[in-house]
Amino acid sequence: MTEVLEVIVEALVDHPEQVRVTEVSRQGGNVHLEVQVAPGDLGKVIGKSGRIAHAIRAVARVAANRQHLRAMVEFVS
Amino acid sequence: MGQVEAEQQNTEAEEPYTPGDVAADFVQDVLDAIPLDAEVELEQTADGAWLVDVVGPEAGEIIGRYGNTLNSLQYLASLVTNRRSGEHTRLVLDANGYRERRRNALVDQALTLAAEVIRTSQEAELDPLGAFERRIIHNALANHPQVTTYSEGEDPDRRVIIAPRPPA
Repeated sequence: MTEVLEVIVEALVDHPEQVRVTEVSRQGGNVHLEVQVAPGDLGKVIGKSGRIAHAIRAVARVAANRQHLRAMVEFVS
Repeated sequence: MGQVEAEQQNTEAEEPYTPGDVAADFVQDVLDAIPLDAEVELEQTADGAWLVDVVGPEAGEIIGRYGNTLNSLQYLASLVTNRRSGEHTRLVLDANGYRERRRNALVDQALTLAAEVIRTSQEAELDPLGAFERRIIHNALANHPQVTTYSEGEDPDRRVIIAPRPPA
């Protein structure tokens, strides 16, 4: 699940080498994932009114569903 | 230079890395990372848009409810492609013929609702749709003699209204 987030986010930002995706916690069927990007790249993964973040979460959900998990994806810099 | 190298260079010269290739490679990387057993096929339509078609046993998994996931991945692929190619690329992502089936369903819905509008002489509205799908409705009824269409509201709640056409 971290892999799909890495593939998408690295393709969107100016500094792909600074992208870090980590699983913060996992409780029951819920996984909390954190996507860290360079400070100047945060807008590139969130977008106007969160439109890009919404799209990233939708695709990540496919990966989560396959493992019968619910993913909570947070973007930070 | 060896013969193989020379041939590779030749191939590259004949087939440049197009915006369509950028999109297709990105989508394939995403499918592999999920992972889904699916492959992309790339073609360019007559009007210059790139069509990336996802096919294979698990291609349907990427569609989502009402095509929500497919639209999200299409949006991301457009961002990546425009960014890498530095130009605006028209991109359509499809999976197992979903767009065609969805288009037919939307046109059917538009025609059914248009008949209702004519029967009652009252406006009627469709469920909220994205810009791409609203355009399918507008186009389907563009030349209709008895109804006209317009959109109302803000995304993501923007919807098409079908209204009786005022007599000319």
